[in-house]
Amino acid sequence: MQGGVLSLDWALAETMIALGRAPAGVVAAADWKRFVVEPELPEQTADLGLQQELNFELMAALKPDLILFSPFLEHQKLKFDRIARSEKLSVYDPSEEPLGQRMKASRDLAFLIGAESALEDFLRELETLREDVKMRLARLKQRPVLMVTFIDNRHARVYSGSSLYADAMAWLGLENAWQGDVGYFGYSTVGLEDLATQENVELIAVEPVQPDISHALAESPLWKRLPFVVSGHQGSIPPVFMFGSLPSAARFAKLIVAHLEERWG
Amino acid sequence: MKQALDPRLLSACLFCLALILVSVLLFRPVQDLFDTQTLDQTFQNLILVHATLPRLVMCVLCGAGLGISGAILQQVLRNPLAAPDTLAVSAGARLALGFVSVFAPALFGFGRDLVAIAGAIMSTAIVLIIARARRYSPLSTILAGLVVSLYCGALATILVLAKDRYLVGLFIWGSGSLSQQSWQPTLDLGIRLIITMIPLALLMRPLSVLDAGAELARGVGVRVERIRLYAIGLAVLLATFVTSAVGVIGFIGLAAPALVSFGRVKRFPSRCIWSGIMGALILLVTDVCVQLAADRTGTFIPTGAVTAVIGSPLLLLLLSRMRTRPHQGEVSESAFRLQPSPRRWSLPVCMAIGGVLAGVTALLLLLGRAPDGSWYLLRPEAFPDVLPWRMPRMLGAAGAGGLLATAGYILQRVTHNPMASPEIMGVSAGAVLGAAATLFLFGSGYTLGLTASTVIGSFLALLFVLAVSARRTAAPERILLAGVALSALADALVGLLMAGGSPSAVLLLAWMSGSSGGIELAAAAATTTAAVMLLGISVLGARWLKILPLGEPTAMSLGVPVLSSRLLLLVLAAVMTAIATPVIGPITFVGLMAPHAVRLSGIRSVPAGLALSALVGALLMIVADALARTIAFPIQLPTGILASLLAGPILLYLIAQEGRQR
Repeated sequence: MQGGVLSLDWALAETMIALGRAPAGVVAAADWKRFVVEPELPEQTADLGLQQELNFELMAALKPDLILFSPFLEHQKLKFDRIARSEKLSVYDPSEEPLGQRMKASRDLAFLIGAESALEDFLRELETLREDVKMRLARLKQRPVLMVTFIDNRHARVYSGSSLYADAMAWLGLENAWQGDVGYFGYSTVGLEDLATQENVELIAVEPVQPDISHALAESPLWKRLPFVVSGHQGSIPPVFMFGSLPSAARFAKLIVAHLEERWG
Repeated sequence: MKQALDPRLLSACLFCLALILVSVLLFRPVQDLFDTQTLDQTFQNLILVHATLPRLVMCVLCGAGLGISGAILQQVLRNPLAAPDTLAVSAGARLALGFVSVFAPALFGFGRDLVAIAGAIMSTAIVLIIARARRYSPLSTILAGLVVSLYCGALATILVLAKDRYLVGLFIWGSGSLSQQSWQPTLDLGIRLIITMIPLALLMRPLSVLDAGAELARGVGVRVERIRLYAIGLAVLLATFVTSAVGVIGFIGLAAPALVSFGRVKRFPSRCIWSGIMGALILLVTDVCVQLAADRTGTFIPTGAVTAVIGSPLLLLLLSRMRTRPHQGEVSESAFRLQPSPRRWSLPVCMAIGGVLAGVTALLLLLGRAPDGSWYLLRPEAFPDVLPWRMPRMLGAAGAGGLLATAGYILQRVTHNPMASPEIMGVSAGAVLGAAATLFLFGSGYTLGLTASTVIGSFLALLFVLAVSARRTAAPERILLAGVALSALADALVGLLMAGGSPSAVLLLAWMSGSSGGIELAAAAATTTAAVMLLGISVLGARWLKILPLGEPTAMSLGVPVLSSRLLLLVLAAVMTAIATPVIGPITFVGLMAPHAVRLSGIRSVPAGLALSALVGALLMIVADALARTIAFPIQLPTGILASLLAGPILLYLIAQEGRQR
């Protein structure tokens, strides 16, 4: 198990798996199945503990030759360097092109682990997927899509900017219904009454939706009269990693086109 | 500043302010109500009817409920510190909610409210059971409340760290958002509050009699203990109804009755009613301001955090006018009375504990877990690979534990208060505020700046608390109240930042949970060296520490410069806290627990007490560090949190024991 790559960021780890070069260790591996789902994390990948409380002893024992981290672990770089060469990659900086920063981070990653040709193959597949999805979407009658995650029975997260959902929607040519301000990660928390923005949106919630939330929504007179609820334009898709990179974007594209074909078809 | 602050005048001012703000908020929507009905317009009207209006009513109900709850608690416990926040009501509810959302989300089908209520009742029951050992004496009750509430906070932090992506809701709920989408929750809360008013009305008379003192009340046939228990139960219920409806609204339950008591309202029923009115108005004004600000800036601001941010400085400001009602004889704390069996085995004890410390340290240092999860003892040939990672964190933890324990010992003797500790006096909160300011202003890159700002923060906090409480040094409540206010301020600011979803918030949370995993050897060695040196310095002050608790007149007659000695010792404690906090985080209970353990051991010699405190503190942190490293392997838990989980129950046990001894 020596000489592997430790990835301290899930977005980088999922890209590595997609390139066929699974990392030797990732942080919080136990939670992968719940939040990322696809691509699957190989069994033998070591769990390095919490992102905020890294297991340095274990990291050193794995004797990696490269450690990849996100800008949020910059302050630990000196310690990473004592274990192995370490490189910082950022998925979140804003970019002009849809998925631009994610592509750039993936290219840097592929260069670092020597998987450039695998990346070219992956990007080609991604482009094919995009054209296929765009074609299927073009057959449907379009409306703006409002992606939300329900936090509790009164609040939800909405997405824009450099968040994966907004970025992937822009890449697929879908119109994002949320135009308000968002934070660095590209999301913002709002009260449910704030979702009453536009008339003809399609609301898509990312699972899991807790049982008491759907119950509370069904009871709320305000919610019941929101146009997308009245016209039945609301639904949900299985979990997609909200801080993900290109593989998550691909998963999102497949799930959302299937969902929209079912709703709008 | 001699004249009393009349609650009628204050409420009238607040009422006018509320009226103006509400009309600003409602002007446009109500005007639009009569305009042509476009589709977008129907929307706005829906929001007005089903979101804006119920929210206003909700504010009034919540504020009133919390205000009355606080007034009852302060009446029963005869203590201006008593409030739903300080008795762990909200902390318990918050923790229960976190647990259920992680481990049994299906339970939410039964309703978030029930879960929250169950948690609140449990945490408050624990507080009351401990308090019973000391016959509900005010200071011990509040101490138990604070410990339980910090404890719940520690557990909740572990949940957030381990499962953070699920618990965003917990943060929002913990910061108290009043956002509404229907009249139903408002109606539910209204009905519950009204039902609670019936038993409260029955309790009014016996509770009023308590003003004359428990002895007198017993004389006229009031069953004091029972009345107190009922009243506390009622207050808890009121606060929990509010908390489960909208989340934790900080400080209203503490500030509203405190404001009323400045007005020297004599009768309890009027104090109760005015507290309700005051609470309602404060919350209404705050929430409307929050709504107007959110409209302008487009960011999410939880109201509960804002009330705490506004409320705590307000309370500190008003502290200078505070007149604590004199306690009856029954409540005087005398933790520094002569012990029943003074013991003189201090040197052997210290040596024995030192021996145990060395042995346990060596064993724990070698104990570890291999990458496959199996337990093993480190072999000498593996030392160069593993010890560079293991050694610094253990060394740092031990040094920090020793520092906090010594600081706690000094603070308890100087303030003549068994509740004093770096955590509870707000010194750690100052450190947190300093760290938060640096993280958010300059980003995470400035490790050196972070340490410096932590030190500055804890100094400022201590100076502040001292300045606020300097005038009547004899009243321990004043120092504690100032400390609690400062801690609440730090808590609220962190909650506010977390709810805003800023990336630095995660770092701050990790830092607050006492992550010692990443400490460098140099820093750890410096911490331990500082601990030894400062312990030496504090032994120089042993004479002062011995005499100061005997009271000001005695100390002066013995030739101790009371003011300057007190100041010097407090500054020493602040330095210790400031050095320890960046290493181990703000909450460990070590500084509170170790001196209690020393007192229970019967040691009276001050130098031995100091040394023993430091040893107990260091040992506790060493155990916590080893557990944090191994029990959840491969996950490493933050040492500070684990220390508080270890020390909390021990501390509560010690408090109950000390109570029984008297």
